[in-house]
Amino acid sequence: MNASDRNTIAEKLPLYVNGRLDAEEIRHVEMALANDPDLARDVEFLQALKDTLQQSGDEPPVEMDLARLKRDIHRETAESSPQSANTRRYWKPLAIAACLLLAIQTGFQLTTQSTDSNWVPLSGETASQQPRLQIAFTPSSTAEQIRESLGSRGLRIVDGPGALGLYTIQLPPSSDVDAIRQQLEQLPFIEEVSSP
Amino acid sequence: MDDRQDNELLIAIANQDMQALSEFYRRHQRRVYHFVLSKLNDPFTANDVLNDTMLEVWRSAGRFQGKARVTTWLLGIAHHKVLDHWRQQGRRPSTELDETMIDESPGADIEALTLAARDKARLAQCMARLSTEHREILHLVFFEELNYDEISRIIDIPEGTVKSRVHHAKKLIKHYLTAVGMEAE
Repeated sequence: MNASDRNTIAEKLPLYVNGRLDAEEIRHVEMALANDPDLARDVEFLQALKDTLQQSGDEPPVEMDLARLKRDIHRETAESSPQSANTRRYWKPLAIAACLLLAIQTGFQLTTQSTDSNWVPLSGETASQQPRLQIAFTPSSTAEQIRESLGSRGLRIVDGPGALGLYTIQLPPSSDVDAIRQQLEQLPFIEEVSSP
Repeated sequence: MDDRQDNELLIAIANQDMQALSEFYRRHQRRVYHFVLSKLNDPFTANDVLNDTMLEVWRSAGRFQGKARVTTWLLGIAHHKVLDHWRQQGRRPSTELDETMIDESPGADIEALTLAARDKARLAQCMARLSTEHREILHLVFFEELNYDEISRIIDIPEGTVKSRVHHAKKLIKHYLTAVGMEAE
């Protein structure tokens, strides 16, 4: 095998290791490997390199990053449509009023009708008792800021973002909700913090 | 990876189907993240560029014509988002490539190199010493298992340049694996 042929084979070795050659090319490479121990050892090296490179342990957090992407899409869609900005302003107080009405109605029903304190959800699961907040990030907030602000306080995104860009955050049990709320409100990349 | 399903997802995304975007995201997030990380070497910025890339998928899914594989198209977007990031920062961390400076050590013990390449921490240390371009090319060949034509489309360079870059990146990683081994002794 002359130097030019050897270079051509050497060039194909990464593709050989990856199984990206056709049958004819594989036959050529394997003939060369049988006659050239240095090339054969190079294949072993490339295989080791590939195996180790593919063992990366650093994985991005899927659901949190996906929630952030959805928030950005909602924002972009809202900004690109002047009508939707008006709609958003119109619906926000309406949505809050509807939530208040629902809360009052629920409170009224519970205090006037229900005397059974041993109710459980039909799903059989125990309803979460952990406190929650709703939060909106500024459009320029980064993944690092979001992760640091939530992770350092033991907070977790459990829902969102909704149409208004709000995430629902679950706090650790027995948290001081007001204190955490005040801390979050002071962060420059957090637009809004409210109770659900 | 099923490219037919990827194509269907892109059609749905072009019709503003958020569920299709979620599925596409879960399927390709790891791939895009690691590709961007190989160029930037910074996990937080890699996450931001991943977000920008997927936002671009949402905007541009309707323009995908099926001339390339979906993954080639997607990593091409990620490549350009990294270039945008560098432009915004007003800098590019890589230096000009000097691909003639390293000669393969004639006495290099290939079996010792193979053993060294199996050491995750040592290999990571050596990868970090490579230029962005060399780290990126090794990632595309050995992590993504792409062929030279696909890599050429993604990073917008001729196929011949891809081949010579792979050749030099291999020589350099062998050189650094040897050097790090000697430093440790």
